[in-house]
Amino acid sequence: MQMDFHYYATYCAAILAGYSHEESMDICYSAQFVDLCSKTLLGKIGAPAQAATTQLQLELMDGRSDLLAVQESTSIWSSFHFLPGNLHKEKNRRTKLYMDKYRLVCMPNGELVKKTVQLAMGQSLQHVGIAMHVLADTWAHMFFAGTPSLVINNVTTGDFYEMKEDGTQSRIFFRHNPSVPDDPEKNLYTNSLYQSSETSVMNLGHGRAGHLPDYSYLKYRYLPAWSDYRMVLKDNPSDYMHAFCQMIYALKKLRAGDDDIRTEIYDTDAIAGYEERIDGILKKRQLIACDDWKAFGEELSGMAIPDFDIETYQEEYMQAAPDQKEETFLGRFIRAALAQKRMVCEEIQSTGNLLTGIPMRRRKKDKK
Amino acid sequence: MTRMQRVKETGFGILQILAALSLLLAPKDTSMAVILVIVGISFTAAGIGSLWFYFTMARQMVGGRVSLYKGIILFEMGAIALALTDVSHYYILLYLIILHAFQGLVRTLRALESRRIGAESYKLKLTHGLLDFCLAILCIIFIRQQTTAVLIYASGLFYSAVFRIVSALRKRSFIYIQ
Amino acid sequence: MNQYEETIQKIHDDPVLDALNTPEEVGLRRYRSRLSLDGIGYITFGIWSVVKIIASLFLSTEFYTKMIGYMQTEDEPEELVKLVFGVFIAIVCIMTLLVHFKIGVAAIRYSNGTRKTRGFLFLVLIMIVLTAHGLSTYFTQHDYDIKFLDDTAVASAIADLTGIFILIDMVISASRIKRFRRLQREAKQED
Repeated sequence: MQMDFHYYATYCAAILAGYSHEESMDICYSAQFVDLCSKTLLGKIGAPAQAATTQLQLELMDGRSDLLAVQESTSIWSSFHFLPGNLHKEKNRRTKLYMDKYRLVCMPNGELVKKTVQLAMGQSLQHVGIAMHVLADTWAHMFFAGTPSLVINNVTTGDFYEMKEDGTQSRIFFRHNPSVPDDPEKNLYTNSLYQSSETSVMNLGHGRAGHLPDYSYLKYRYLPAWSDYRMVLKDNPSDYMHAFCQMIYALKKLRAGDDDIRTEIYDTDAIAGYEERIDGILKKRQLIACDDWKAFGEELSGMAIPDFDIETYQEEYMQAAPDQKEETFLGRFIRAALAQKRMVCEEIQSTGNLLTGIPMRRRKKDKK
Repeated sequence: MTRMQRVKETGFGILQILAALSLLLAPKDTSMAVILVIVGISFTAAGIGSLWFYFTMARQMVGGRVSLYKGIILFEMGAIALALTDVSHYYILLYLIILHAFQGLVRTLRALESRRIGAESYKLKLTHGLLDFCLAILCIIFIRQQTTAVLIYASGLFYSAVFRIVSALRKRSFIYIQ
Repeated sequence: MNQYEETIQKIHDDPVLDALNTPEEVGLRRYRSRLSLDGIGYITFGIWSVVKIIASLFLSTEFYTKMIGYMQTEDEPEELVKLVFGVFIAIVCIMTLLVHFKIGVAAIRYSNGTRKTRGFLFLVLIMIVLTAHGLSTYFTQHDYDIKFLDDTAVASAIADLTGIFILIDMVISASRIKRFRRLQREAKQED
């Protein structure tokens, strides 16, 4: 998902869940910050590199494809952007190597998304924001894994078809030209180059499908590498609506401190009267829907939503004394990110999957 | 880079430097044979790797057969390279010209893409790419000389080692919360 | 249906997708992909065979001089023998490429529906027999003693075995495609 959903739509969901404007701003800022908190940024502000919640394109390009680099990538992307749906999936006649990666495929309504929300219970608003980012991405990024893997994340680019509302299907074309924006009118989109190396960064996440999972208007079918030749359908308008309603449900639970979190529950009552408006925003054929979501959010709260500024809280963090850093906005975000990453990595490692690293007992000083 | 990765890269770089020095100091025929063996082993290993990947993972992937065909061809390429004992130096130079020209092109393109997105490391990559082109050109200029192949291969190993070590030892400053 | 597939079903219950994932459709997709890759693979192997022949001649002087030596008799000038040898090699290379391209392109066209008949399988069967026969020559004693051929026998045998595997797979895939297309037509007629 992009800023339109992580920042503005999360704000709308928080307002509908009963949070105040200020609280909703903290939540949505944190949700969007997950897409920007890289090692480069953390290094700039003097924060721990382990708290990185994303990897920038230039970090990935400079990166390597050995085991340690794969583990680092997997621990970040699986924890924050491609939360695995079922770590105990079974499939016949597959090696452990294959299954380790297959089990990392992102799906909504998994056990881990429940744990993600429960982990945020009673914690800071920054932690709530991170949980909402992770939850939303389970809908957008489903069918892809947060690990560089050709055998899981590759797609047959000739089999992408957009399924329009009038029942017609039109072929989607790909090119590798990152400097030119995607063209929805011509069905022309950018994707990553085919690389036959299993652990190439081009095979990380949904790179081979370009930004298609992040466009809320697209409903399309395609053939993923793992699907045994069965087509899958990605209905983004429906998925994003599910994500939005599930976020409201989760936010209400978090606000009430009720840790009885269940999956497959969508608070459609909360959007009563707004369904058409939201549906309209999701189905509007545009690459980014920030303006529409922003207008909706400002109507809901009656307050102006400031544009996202990555530098808003950096000065506060850098100026704070070392023993005060954890109480700053970014300090709380970093603590929450570390907790989320630790939880997901430990869950993955407990299944015998070493793609996020080798399990270590937490040292006493880490428990602070 | 983690500490372990830095140690590994530095160690491999030192091994490459030692290999380059050995090639330069050994008699010409021995050096040529060693180059062929290294090339042969590289291809064979790549072929076996591709076949292993096919049988463990790519078999279950849509369109995974490509790895099988790639593996077989690379394996056979390696076997042929290992079986060759009396290759004229012209063919080794031809191989080096193609290798360095291709590597130079790929590195230069990657460096330009890094520069476009604002990465500072593009200068190192660009230098590496341009050096590859220079080596390819030197191969062409000095093609008639018997020792050119050994010199070019050894210098390729040497500067590759230098870049690897420099990359491994570059400072990264991270401060950890107390 | 396992839990994973149930999740997909629950979220995306779409009749269009159901129609695309009938056993006939999935089977057709699988075997068309296999046949297409077999075609591309066979063409690649053909190109590689020609490259191998040429590379062996240029890179292994032992191979080249011994082959010329065996062909030459006392009366013939060496240049004539070399010319005849060169023409012979050129013919072999061209024939190899032609056969591989013919089979490979036919397989690709049959897989994507451009070609309707399976007549190319006759040529495939001939190539299976010829390649299998050729395999035995790698491991039998020869009158000519060329170390280069002995050293590369195993690798070449593996490559030829793979070629046979590709050809057999073409036959199987083409048959399955025909079967699934027939089932698809019958299913449409029933509707």
